[in-house]
Amino acid sequence: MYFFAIDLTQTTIDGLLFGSTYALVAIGFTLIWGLLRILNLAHGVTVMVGMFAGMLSATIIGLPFYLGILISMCAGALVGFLIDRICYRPLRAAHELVPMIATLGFWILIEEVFIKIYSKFWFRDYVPFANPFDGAGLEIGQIRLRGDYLVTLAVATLLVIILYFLIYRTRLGLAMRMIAEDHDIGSLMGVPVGRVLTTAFLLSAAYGGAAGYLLGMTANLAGPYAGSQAVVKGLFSMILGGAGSIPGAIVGGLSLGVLELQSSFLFSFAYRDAIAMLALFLVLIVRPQGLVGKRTADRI
Amino acid sequence: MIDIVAITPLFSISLILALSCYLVLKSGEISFGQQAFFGAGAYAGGILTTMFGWQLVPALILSAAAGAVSAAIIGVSLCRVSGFRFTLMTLVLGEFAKEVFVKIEWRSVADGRAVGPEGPLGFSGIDYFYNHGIQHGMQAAIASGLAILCVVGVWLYGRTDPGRRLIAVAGDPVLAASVAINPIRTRLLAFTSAGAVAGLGGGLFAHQATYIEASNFSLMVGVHAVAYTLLGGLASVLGPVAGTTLDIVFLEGLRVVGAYRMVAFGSLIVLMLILWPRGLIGTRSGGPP
Repeated sequence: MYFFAIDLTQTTIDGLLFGSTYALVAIGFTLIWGLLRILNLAHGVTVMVGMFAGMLSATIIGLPFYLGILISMCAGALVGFLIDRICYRPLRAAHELVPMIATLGFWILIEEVFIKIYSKFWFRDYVPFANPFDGAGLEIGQIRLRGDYLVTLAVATLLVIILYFLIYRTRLGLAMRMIAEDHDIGSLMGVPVGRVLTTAFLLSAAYGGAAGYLLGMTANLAGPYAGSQAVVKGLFSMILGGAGSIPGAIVGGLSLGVLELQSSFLFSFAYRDAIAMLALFLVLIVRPQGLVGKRTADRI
Repeated sequence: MIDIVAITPLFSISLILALSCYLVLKSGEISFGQQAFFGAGAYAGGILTTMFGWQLVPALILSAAAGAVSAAIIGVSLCRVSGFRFTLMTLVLGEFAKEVFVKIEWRSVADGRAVGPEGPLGFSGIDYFYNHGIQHGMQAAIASGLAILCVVGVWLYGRTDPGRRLIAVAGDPVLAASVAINPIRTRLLAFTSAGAVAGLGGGLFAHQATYIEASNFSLMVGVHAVAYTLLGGLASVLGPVAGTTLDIVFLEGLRVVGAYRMVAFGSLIVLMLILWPRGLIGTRSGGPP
């Protein structure tokens, strides 16, 4: 019983630490959803590009961790810029589903181009990703905290603090909050809506890039299908917590991490994803607004 | 030139799945989870012909029923939500179904050899066509016949009372409810019918492919079906036909762009949306695209 309790605590802590990457992905989704009411399905592409930029800088060039993460964020932001200019800007007058489908097309396009390029250089499904914190760790009593998970949590926390500072303490954040309420009124009040939205895309994509680096580093692998997996996990976290809310994305990401690891510990690894999804489905039925989301009027 | 016999089954199956998405889109919602019912139909049809020695026609009917029943069960809670919550729930549903398909393991002995789905190893040996001597030409005829049946069925659905109600509910659920149309029941009926169409397509797919596994029913399958429909437009049932033709016939069949088919398809979606946001065969008035 004692050892079971120890293992249970260990799994929960690992889940919380690992869930912070899911939270980062979910923040990217939730920012765009909150401001524009579109699901940016191309967000997974920024995660994938961030992961490969990180892989190139960490494994091939051998740059230190902090530089690698900056490079990943810049690479992600570049993709975010493209998403804004190709999928959102030309279509902003159209129905809100149209940009979403455009991001879908962009996702298919970039993933396929990327796989073509990838298979020219590598002949396997995954490439190794250097992990400078491999084997390092912190022992507290019987609990062991993995070094790379701790670094992940630290980076995620730092990024979340920066995000909160940006949103609640700067003019840019003020403009974003204005736009989240109403685009037209924001524009009448002199907010440069287009420019602020471009910044939001850059920001969300930079967070996606950072998440890509962290995901690759903790797994020691980088693969071309990471984007699609990140889309699923990020969306799940966002739904679990409540769409459009940043605390929701954080809570959702952390709970998804705990849920996945606990179900593989308590039941079996094979049923890990199935149990997580069943829980998600139940949450959606019982509490459609998510764990911390506010209740909004539905159309029916 | 184009090999019609080789391309027809693929075209028909893609079209049937796109029609399923079209029915859901007509109710004003986007579903990324139709591949779940497609998979349910595929497994049901495959199990019936290989393990129980059923004929193709009853097996396909049961495939459609499997799709319809699973859609009805899930639709009871799903049709109460709308907008992006609906889309996200279908996304979860699709991924969950894939997890379920990996777990299906049911072996038995038929004609002196072990058959049935083998969990993660997939479900092989669905060789009804081979055992009954149905050649490629005949297979193509069966596939295209079923596709035409579905096109006509979906077209008729839009012409009849439930279809009219569906348009009203998609336009404004509150207004529809005020003229005694039950929005939830109307959408549930459409969702169940969409499940039946997808299930039928799945049954056909299982026999055409002879081997199925969970990864055949991944998110991208559902995403493509939605993309075909939106490329083609929602104004009429010809929309999904046009969208599927564009991808399967021009990009896959004629190999206009060689091995870069998916790349071309992705850029085509983005380009088309910028040029004709309402699809090839779209309406001019407002409302969802």
